[in-house]
Amino acid sequence: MKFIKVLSRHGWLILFLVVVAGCSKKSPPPSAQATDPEIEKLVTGDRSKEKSPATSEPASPMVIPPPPAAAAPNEQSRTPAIVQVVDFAGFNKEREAFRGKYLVVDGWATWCGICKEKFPKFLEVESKYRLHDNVVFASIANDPADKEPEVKEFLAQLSSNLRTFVLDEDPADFAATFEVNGVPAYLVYDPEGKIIFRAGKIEELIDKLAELFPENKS
Amino acid sequence: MRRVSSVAALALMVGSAWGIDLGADAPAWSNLPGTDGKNHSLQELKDAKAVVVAFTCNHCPVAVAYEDRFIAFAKEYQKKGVAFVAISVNKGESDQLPAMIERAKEKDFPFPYIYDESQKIGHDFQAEKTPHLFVLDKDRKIAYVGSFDDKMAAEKVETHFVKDAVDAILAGKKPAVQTHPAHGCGIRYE
Repeated sequence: MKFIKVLSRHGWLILFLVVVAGCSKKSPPPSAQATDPEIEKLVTGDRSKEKSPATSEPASPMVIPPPPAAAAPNEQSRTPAIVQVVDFAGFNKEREAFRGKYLVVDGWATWCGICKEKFPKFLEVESKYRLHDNVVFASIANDPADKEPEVKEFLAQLSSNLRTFVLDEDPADFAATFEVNGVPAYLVYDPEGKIIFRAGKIEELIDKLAELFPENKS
Repeated sequence: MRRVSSVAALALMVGSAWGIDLGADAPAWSNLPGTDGKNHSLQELKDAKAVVVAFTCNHCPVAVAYEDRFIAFAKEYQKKGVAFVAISVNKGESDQLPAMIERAKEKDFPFPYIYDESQKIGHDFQAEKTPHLFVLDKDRKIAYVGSFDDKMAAEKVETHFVKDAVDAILAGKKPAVQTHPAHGCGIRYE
């Protein structure tokens, strides 16, 4: 009887204590789970410790990873690459979105063997600088518009989500417009949108980025 | 912005930063095997009023797109005392001498198509692309470096850089445009 009296007088209090005790044994909310370093890497697409395709077997097909479960804080998550067919005017228009940041470009083509051979190295470089606030990376495939599926396939095989423009212009115009000896061509635009660097060898690009961003130099 | 002006391209490309210097002595090749079964050298062209050297190859679609233009040029300018030579320095199987012989036969090239397995002559000219054109004047100085013309699509060509350079040399003048960016496939040096 005494127990019933206590229960009737303090029922709400007991119920509250039971609920609190139960809650303390529950799993942390999803936001807390995402702070786990390993899971964080998956969400943000941290590729810094991945083996580069360039150092494995470039000819072997690679498995396309599933898209991340949540949007990554960085612009370049591991979702499939955004591939867009453009002409020069379209590229310049799209390029406006990168104003205020350095834009590093790999100019390549599906018909250029050496370009495709060097592409994984460019992805390694992009991986090194991808979390840098002041720089973005993109590629330009100097190919006809109907090569868009081939461009996408190439990027997918490398598990790359690099923003890519299929520049449907004559290769001679590509060379003359960007003032390079064709592809491969590595370009750096400054935050004002001016090309400040051109090279045909990726080693020269690596040196230039180390000079521009000494804090990233390893 | 569709095209950079020749002046801008010239200003950018003159000098060693863009390869071999204009006005420099052309590198000489000797005893390089050709698709005709003979060995070839620059010296054998000593009587030519100008020499056009095209670094090219079998596999590159851009180089292939220019083959008919090279044939037409060689035929037209041989009559004017100008020599045209195609050189491959690529080492992929489809670019080596046996495959070159097949291509030369198939296309009936009216010019020597020679192969440098050592790649030395490519290094000497600092050729980067296929095709990459070099025009040598009568003293075998470098008079023009770059692309053959201004479009890969033959039907859209407006400016014939190599023809214009050779015409200038034949007229005893310096080419008005001495460089224009080359375009094509990168030469794979070892």
